[in-house]
Amino acid sequence: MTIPLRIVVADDEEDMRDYFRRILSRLGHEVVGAAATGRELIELCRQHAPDLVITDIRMPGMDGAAAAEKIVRECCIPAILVSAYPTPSPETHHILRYLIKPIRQAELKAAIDSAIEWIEQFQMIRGQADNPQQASENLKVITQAKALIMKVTGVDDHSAFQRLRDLALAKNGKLAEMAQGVLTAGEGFNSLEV
Amino acid sequence: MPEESPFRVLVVEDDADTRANLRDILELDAYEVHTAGTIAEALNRDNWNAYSAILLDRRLPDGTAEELLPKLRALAPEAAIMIVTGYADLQGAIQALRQGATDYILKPVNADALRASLARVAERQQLKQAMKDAQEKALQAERLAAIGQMVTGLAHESGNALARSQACLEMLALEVEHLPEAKELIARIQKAQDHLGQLYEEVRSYAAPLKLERDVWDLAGIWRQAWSNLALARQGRNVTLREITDNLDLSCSVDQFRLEQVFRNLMENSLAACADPVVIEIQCSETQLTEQPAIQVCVRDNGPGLNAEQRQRVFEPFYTTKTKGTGLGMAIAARIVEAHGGRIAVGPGNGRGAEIVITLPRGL
Repeated sequence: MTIPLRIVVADDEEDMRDYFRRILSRLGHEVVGAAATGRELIELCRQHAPDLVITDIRMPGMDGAAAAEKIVRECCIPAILVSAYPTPSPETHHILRYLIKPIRQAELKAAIDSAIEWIEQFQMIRGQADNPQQASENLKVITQAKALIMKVTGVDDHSAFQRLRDLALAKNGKLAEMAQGVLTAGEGFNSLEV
Repeated sequence: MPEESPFRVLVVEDDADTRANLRDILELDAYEVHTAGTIAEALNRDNWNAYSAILLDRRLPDGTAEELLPKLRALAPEAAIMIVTGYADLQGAIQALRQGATDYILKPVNADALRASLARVAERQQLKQAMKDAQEKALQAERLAAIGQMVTGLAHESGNALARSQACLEMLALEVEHLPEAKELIARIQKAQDHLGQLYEEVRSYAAPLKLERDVWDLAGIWRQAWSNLALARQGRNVTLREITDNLDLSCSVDQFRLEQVFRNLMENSLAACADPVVIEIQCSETQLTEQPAIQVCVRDNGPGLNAEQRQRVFEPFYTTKTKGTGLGMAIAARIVEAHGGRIAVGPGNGRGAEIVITLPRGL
């Protein structure tokens, strides 16, 4: 299921901006802004309030990574970073993925699908929180819990989130509470060396 | 002067007895002695590089040491020139020292003093050579480092160009969706570009400094991840992964990302070398490495195996028998394994295909 996303992209290469406009539109999404610098990226995001940001890490002036950090904190949206070097794993819970250059359409599509999944999950998380601050904190805990579930059981991100949801339904509780429970249990098992 | 050649001394002395005496003393230390009785005779040779020391009498029938000294310094700049002189002539000897002689020897010649002087000369020359060798090695290392940096820079810049090329190629593909021949050509460009990208990635990966990020992982999880990452390569082929672990605990402190690369490289090699049905077998056992607990991982396939030359050279950078490929896959794998404090080697294989044996310290 593809929800059309409003996306702001950033890359200092014109060819890449062109590429994103065409391919993302092909995939059913709308590129509402295309920036060439980190600064421009931040401005366009403030202007257009996109659902997702896709940015190259290295750009003149403020680089994409720093700009993305700022944006994801302010706007609570996910970001996909484009890098020249293979990087092991994303570091923050808003940074969904690193795409390695050269990008393939198939990889881009998979990354967008992850973004859609993230957005759906976050809507639920935001719904259960009293304010954006709490939503952000809950997101952090839930992301950590998902990671633990994935590592221990080998399921994917979607299934891990499903398990938390099922747990929340069964116990009539909130996602964040379940997530904290999972993390505490994990620590417990660790200390028992099970 | 290379260590193998003997220490050669040229003795320029007109008095036959003194000459013979000097020869006797020098040959006690197995020095090779050449002699000349006059300046003319001394200059009548062209093997100046062979001499480590020249013993020169101050007064010769056809001239003095002063006249000869500058010529000798020019002809044999590396040789130690020692003036043989009488006590009465000390001033002259000191003058000769100022002109570039290394030492002076008083007549009558004290054998021990002479031998000690020459021994010092020999030692100095050996040190000089050692320093020269070290300098050359350092220069070589510097040059390699510069090349490494250049390659990394090149690979990085090329990465940008490749990314743009890929983007435009994909956009072009959209434009000609209705033109089958054009699509076919685009598919071929894509293949060539994939290869180029792979080349740059491997070279960049090899040239870049290696920093490991360790954590405790289950090795099986890592090779299964590598297997999963090769899904596209395995498409349309009959390939099986067999695991023999005997429920051994496979926890190991490793860099998951890098180790996945190692397994992936080995599996890619097997996929390239073997014909279907391909069976890749991974067998683990407990072992020790430098008296620390370690895990031995044997990766085997059912292909043609490695011939004598391949067994010898498989980990060499740029060595490859594939028609495509950089020959860096195994070199990179070796580098990563060794950075973990582990070992990688070609296993016996029992004549049934290629076998690579990796030993990793548990590091727990």
